[in-house]
Amino acid sequence: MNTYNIFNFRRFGKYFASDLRSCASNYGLSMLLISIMGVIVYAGTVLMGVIFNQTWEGPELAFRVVTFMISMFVLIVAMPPKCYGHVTDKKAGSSWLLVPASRLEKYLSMILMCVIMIPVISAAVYLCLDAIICAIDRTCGQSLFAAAIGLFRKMAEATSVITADLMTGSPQAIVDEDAIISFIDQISCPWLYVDDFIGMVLTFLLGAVFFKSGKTVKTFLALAALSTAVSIIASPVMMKWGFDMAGIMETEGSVNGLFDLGIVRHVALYDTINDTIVNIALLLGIWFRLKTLKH
Amino acid sequence: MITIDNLGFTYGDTAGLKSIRVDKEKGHMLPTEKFVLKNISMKLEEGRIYGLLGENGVGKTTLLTLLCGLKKPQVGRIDADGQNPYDRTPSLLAEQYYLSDEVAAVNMKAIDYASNYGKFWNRFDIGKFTEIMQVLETDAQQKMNRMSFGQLKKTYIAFALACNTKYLFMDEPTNGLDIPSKAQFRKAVTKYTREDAVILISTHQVRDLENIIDPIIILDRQEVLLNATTEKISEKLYFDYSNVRNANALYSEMTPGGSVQVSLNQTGEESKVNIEALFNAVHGNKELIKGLFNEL
Repeated sequence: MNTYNIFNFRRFGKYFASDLRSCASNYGLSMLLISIMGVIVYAGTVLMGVIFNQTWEGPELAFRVVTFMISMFVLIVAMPPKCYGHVTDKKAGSSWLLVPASRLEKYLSMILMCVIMIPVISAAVYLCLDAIICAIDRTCGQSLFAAAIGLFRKMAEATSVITADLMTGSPQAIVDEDAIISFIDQISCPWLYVDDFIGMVLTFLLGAVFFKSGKTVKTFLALAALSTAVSIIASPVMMKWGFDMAGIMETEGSVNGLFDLGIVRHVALYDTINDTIVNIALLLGIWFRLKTLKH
Repeated sequence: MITIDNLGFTYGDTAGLKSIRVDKEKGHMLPTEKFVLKNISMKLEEGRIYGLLGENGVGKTTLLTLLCGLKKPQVGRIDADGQNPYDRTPSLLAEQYYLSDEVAAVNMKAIDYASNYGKFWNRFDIGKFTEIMQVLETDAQQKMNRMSFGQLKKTYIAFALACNTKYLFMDEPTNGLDIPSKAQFRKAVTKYTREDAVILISTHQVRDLENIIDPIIILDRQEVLLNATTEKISEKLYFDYSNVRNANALYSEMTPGGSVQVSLNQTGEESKVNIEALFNAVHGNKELIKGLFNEL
């Protein structure tokens, strides 16, 4: 098999553009609705305030954060079945399989579309509209984008005293300031959250191409079953860690000793390794599903 | 050219495993009775429009989906220009189009669908697409999910023909078409396909395609009963349209509107093949017909 039949940049470009158009026609309206959810919530909140309290007041930051999170969650859950659920359908799936592009091109396009294109476009539109609303109406306070940057900056610049206050309430008890600062630095790395997000998208994408019907519900059920199984299997290890941590805190009378534990000292590394393994497994699952798809 | 060699297929993996037995002497895997298709071997040559006929459930759609790579052969092999269709390589996919019996109502205008997907077939011609859409009297500006089944079918027929592929597989293409559209379809198939194309049309409505299909393949349970050109058929069988009953006829249909009887051609006289009568004659005399045409 020559490389032309495996991957061709020109053909991939054409396929990606066609895939984008197809996704826009299948999911464009829902995507638009999710992207303007901030505006809808703003208009609703202001309207309610005017009607019931005769005051003009935009939604608070916390409320907008929750709305944004819910909107993005709905996007992640609903987008893969809408855009690619048809691959398991006899009629549309047959056409999709027989489009003259390689399996790798179709796969890459699918992943790029679900993991990058659609979430980034939706989130960017959402955040831009939120920023515009906040710039026009000062009652809303800080925009989501500004708040997120501020949060990460604060986390990155956190001092050991602030950390100590947060963790124990007694700054004097903290001895190993470097370890705590390192811990805060690690958990303020955005990638830590991005790979979780990728994992969620890939999970629902796998559900969309794996299940023939009830794709979202069955994905949730499969997740629940898998979580239960993992919890049961991992419970002895988790309990051991819990007892170790409790023992350390009891002996030292503070949380200092916890930072000596490898899992806490290298929390970002462990989390990244774990998420990377899960994401690779999901990517492989999607690949093999597409490879073995028949109609 | 497509070569089908000892093809076997069954639905369901478990059933498949149970239905394959190993020939200990030759070391080959052989299919047993649970197979939908068994020991199918034939060659589909360029420049021909094959008519694939058979009763319901004999595996016509299965054969078409195997040929276009939607399914994987469990026994035997298919070779299309040196490639296995199931590999679904872009180079082979660009040379074939499969028009399914059931077509998807996409949320796009027909013309947008054609321009969005047509570019993947090297010889796709958007001008030809709009021309065929006009011939079939269907609005290319209409959204496909608002079309009737017949309009949708005509849109896909126009797209299939505009792709200008070497291999064209059509499963019941005239299903859902109105009477004028069936005539337009016949014209379009003869006018807009390549000279070297291999076209395989599966149908129950033989009268719709009577004048365009040649050779004719008749599938029975798991096997090919007949695969012959109309010329060969008329050499071997005689189609008598008179109202005089022939006691030796293999099949006879005596109706006031028009009678047809099929008998062995012992005089060498040529006659026009009536596909419906042929189908019934073949089904009523399976072994005789197989023996007759295997001699060729």
